[in-house]
Amino acid sequence: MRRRLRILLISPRGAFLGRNDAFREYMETSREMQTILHYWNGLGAALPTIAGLTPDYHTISICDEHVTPIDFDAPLDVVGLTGMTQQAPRAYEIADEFRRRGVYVAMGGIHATVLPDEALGHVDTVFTGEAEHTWPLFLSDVERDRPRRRYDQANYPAVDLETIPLPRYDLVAANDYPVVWVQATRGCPLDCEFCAATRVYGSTYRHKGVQQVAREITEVKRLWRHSQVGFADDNMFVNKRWVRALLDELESVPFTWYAQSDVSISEHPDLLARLHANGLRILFVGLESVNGTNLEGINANGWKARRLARYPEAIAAIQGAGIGIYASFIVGMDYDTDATFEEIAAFVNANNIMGTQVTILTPFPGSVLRARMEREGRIASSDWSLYTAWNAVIRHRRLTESELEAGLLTVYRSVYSENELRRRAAHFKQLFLNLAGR
Amino acid sequence: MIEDSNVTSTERRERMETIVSRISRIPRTEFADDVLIREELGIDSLMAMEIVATLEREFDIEINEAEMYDISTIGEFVAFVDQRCRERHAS
Repeated sequence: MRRRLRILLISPRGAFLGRNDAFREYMETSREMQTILHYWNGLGAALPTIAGLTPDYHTISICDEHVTPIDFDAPLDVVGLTGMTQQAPRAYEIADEFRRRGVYVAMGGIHATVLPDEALGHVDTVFTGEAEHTWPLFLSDVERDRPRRRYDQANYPAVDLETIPLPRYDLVAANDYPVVWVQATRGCPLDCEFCAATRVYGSTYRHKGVQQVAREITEVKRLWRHSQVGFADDNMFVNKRWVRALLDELESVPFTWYAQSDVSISEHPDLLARLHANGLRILFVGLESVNGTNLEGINANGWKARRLARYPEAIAAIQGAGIGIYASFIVGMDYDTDATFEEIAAFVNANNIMGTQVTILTPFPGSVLRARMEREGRIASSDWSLYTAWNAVIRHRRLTESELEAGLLTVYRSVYSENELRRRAAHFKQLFLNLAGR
Repeated sequence: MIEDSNVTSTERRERMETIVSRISRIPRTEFADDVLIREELGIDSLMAMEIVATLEREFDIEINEAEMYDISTIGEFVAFVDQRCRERHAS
């Protein structure tokens, strides 16, 4: 006999800007930053995906706490939490409150995956890794009052992205997201030292079927007619053959979109032209540093270091195709000095990069970086609410925590100054005039 | 391309809508006069820049981005470009 469960999936409110008051003030008063924050919003694809895995005889809903408050009095059987590290403290508060009320609480996502024992101090069940196999199994176990404390993807066959069900975007359709995040691929072959994503997705790069992606986009555009689609994938264009097949499939699906990729896409002008024609408007690219010695330490095989000299050429190729680059840089890397902030700003300005995100090197739990920093005694704080990447939580060899946080602001103030914005706008207008003249 | 001075506002609007539709990938049927460009169509500043540059090429006009700040709706945008084209032909 099936038991119908009342399930609520929650994405907890995050700390986001953390304790860096000067940075917070800048973000809250700069028009450009407000625009970026407006778009840099929305729910990841995880909870709609989990809801899609839920048998339809259960009742399920999703709460994005950034949009709507949690109703702790709702009649529920199961609460499922997800979250990145900076959301963990709030996730634990929510878990404690629901458990006090007798609701069964489970948690998955990147933080629970890398620190399952910590999470188990607050929740009844933890999921590690992907949940395509384990979530339905867990629900079945709950129905029989025999849920386990842990469900580890590592104990099950690899998840086949070609066969997973359509995510339940309809459950969050009432939320007015400027960008709706969709997942088409999982994994990243670069496995950067600071990134813990490989712990969740494994090192194998996988993608959904192109028809499945087209179905998801069609569903998202049905629900949010004029929102942008953002691909949440860490590195979407690794498999160029798949990208070509995806573009063929998406020809008939009109939408504009954002994605993340490494710079290798710049070496394929035919693909860049097709990506732009198919609606790619902004590409997030992790450039990380303009210091080659820093980059050598990021990947075991020095992939990013080898491309540093070609960064300007790559940026020009991508933006010349009409795709704006939103570049991310990290300050506080081992070979950074007090000159680093100006060097990054000068690089961004010289290359007319459309948008820039600068963060402070953060030793996220589960990352190779954290293990190294622990060995070197350089973790300054393990208060997860500070792990927004905009607070200094490391001991740098040359820069103090306040120098790192102030330096971060130096870069933002330079690259988003009125002068630079005006100059960049003129640059992009010329790029588009060139494109229109072809 | 320099347009024929006999082009009517209706024909010009059709060409504008075709360009905006191609860049924004939104069907022309959604371009009613009172539709808000940013809030309802979701056209961001980068797309707006591409639209402006393409219209400049298409109609041989110049548009200062600062002039766009006060434009909110499709109707206002169409009227603005139409006026700029007529000024171009009158000069």
